[in-house]
Amino acid sequence: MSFLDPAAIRLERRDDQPPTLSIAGDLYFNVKIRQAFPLSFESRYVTFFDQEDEYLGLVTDPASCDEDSYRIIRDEIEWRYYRPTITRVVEMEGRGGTSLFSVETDRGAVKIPMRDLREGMMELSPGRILITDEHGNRYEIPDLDRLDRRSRRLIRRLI
Amino acid sequence: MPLLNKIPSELNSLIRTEIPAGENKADLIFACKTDLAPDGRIEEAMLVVTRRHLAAATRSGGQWSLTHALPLVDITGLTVEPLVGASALMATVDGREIRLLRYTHAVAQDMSDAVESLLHLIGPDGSPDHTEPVTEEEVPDWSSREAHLRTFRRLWSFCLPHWRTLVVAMLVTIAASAIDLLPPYLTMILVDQVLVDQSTFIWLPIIVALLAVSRIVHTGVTIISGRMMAVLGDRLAYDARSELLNVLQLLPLKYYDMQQTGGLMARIARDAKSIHYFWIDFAPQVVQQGLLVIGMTVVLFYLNWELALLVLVPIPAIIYASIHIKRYLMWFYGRSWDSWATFFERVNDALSGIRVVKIFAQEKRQSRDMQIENEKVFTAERNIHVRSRTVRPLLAFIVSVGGLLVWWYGGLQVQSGEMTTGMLMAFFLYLAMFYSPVQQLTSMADWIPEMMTAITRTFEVIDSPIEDYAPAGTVDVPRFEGRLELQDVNFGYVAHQPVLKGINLHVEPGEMIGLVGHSGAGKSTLIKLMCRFYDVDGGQILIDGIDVRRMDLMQLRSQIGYVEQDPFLFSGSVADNIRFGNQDASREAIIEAAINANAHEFIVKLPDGYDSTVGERGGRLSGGERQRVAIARAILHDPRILILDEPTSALDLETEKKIQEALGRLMEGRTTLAIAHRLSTLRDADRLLVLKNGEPVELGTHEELLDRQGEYYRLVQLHTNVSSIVGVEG
Repeated sequence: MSFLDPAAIRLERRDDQPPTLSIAGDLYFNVKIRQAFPLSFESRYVTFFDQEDEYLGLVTDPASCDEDSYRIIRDEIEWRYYRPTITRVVEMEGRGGTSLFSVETDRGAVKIPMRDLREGMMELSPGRILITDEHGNRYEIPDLDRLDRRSRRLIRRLI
Repeated sequence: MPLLNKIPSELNSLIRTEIPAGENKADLIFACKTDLAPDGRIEEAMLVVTRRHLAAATRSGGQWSLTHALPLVDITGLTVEPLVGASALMATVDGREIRLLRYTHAVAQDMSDAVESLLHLIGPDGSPDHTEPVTEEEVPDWSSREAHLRTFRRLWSFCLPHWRTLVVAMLVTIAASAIDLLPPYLTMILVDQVLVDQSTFIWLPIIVALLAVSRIVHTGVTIISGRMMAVLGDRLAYDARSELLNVLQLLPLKYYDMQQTGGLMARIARDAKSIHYFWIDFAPQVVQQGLLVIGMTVVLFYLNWELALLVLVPIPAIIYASIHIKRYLMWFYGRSWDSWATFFERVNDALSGIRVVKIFAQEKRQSRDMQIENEKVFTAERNIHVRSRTVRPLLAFIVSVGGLLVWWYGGLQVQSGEMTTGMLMAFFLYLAMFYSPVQQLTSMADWIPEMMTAITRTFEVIDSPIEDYAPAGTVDVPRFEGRLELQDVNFGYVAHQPVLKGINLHVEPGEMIGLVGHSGAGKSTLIKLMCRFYDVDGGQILIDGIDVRRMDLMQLRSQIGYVEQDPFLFSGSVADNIRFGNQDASREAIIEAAINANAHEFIVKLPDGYDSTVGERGGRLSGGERQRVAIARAILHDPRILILDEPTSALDLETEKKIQEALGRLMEGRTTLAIAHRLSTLRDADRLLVLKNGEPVELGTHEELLDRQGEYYRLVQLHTNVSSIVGVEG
């Protein structure tokens, strides 16, 4: 039952609880939703696991699920994959082996401490940058060209 | 040296007289040089193959003599008998074995090539009349000193496409040298004609302006030529690296078996860079400094030949000292390099093995050992620095002798009015410029061998013979059915030390054959032959009735899947690794392959799913996970023939089961050759081929072979005992 038919599944959720998934009438509570390609193809390939973390199946195109289910899928993914988007790089400073980026994100201003720039900065595709700080937190620049000039220059120096 | 298509004329006439009519020079098919006389003395010897005869000849005391001359039609067999430290070529005539030649391992490869060519010619069915003289393309030997000239030519060939830049840069360099000669001369005019006379004082600003202009132009010209040479040098180093990188992918696996990967990396990184140094630092320096020396010598003699001669007095001493100091110091530099290398090796060892060190409580000893190396580094470094700080001032002193002589003799001449003060000043300015290029040129002379060695090493790789991907007469086999036949296959990595002997096997499409045997029995070698990493020495391997040597290598390998014992993953994402053999695969196909390989579930549980990076060599995944990613990679590759080297390492039962399931799916419908270690695989195999010391000893199903109670039975008994101890009973 690996590839699931979007028409045969339905997600429901009450308040702040993990969602309930029904697959062709079978009910699974507290399901976990993970992406198969969270970095290279976010909008597709969503996988479901039951509360024991046993694999249930995969939906190739979640957008073809019914509207409520699709919304729940998006919310769940947003909840699981926390990755603020960087909107401006304010400053970059190097302090004894650690670099500190002061940035503004869609979730607010933050300081990102980085130890290993080579490991921490990854260009997923041209202009799309994933930053992992020394604690493992992640930030994304979806399109470098859409940042202001100064931010672009600061980032370009490092990639 | 490969097979020869020419032999010494003396030997040729000897053959013509000794061998009956009909044999003339044109009848020589090939010859092969060997190195031992029949009695074991090291002498020039030769195996000569003519259209109708096989002859062995030895040269002793400058005279060639024939030791054997056998008609090819009479020879029914040719074998090479491995001796210790040598080999012997034996011919069978009338059922008797004749010892034709003995030779050392130095020529073993050539001789095995010769024997292979000969096998087609001997016996009543031999076809000498249709045989073209064998000439093999000569592989250049880059190692000899004479090869330096060739290296220069190759360097030039790299430069050829950019010759315009080179010419312009050289012209600019020459201009810079010429401009360099100007300031002292202007100074002379300034002192003698402008400063002494009030009336010509108006010239002062003009001369100073000229001096300024000459400095500015010189600076500009130096920048231009430097930049041009820098771009050119980088471009050439890039070209050399590109050629290296291309060749490295195409070299046969055999090449890598003989080379250390580290050494090859050094060639790519460092040695290719020396081409850059040659064109950036070396060539322009030689031209510029050489021109300066010549130019200044001319000017000095023009100004005052007596004084010029005095200037030349310390030159021989400078040349002599520079050469000797460099050589003297080079030895110490060499020691220093060695001590650093050992030091790093030790430290690297100690740090990578830190867990072992701590478990065995050996921190103190390790520390002490490293300290010893540290001291060696200290001594080596001190030796260099103390000595170089001693010899450099001495060299400076020799240089100053020239100055003293000029002061003394020039002073006398100025006093007697034979020379002007300005000229003396000009002399001093030239003098300051004169000795440094002489020193530099001399030290460069010593630099050449070092640089040439590096450049030569680069060309050595570039010119190594690459795999023959599509030999002439290639048969097109776009999709195998999967019928596999091994006919009398013989093979050895070293000439005439067979690892596989007389392997015969017929595998039907879709059949699964398990290869069984002790380690060293030849299982892995057989697999390497299947992938055509090596070619058989004797017999043939056929797929769907076609010899694999007649297939396009790419086409052949693209239809063979190989799952290694410890699979290699490339750094990159899980998805990248699964689609390695099939770049166009869709994500659905990747997922499907992973599902079939029982890998999907663990992959999607990784934080980045299929986008997770696997780390260097797949180090971020566990052994079982790497296995399954490799199986997924093979499933997606969809080979017709599957080659499987089962992992020996014990995995937990759950993982074990998953891998078994995955392998089962992978093998479905494919001809499979598996090195089997697990009982379950052995039981599932359609037939098992048991190898012992490179020879096939048993062939049959698991049950048949168990009933026979032979080699296989013993192996299984052993396996069962071991498995019950480690608890991985398949």
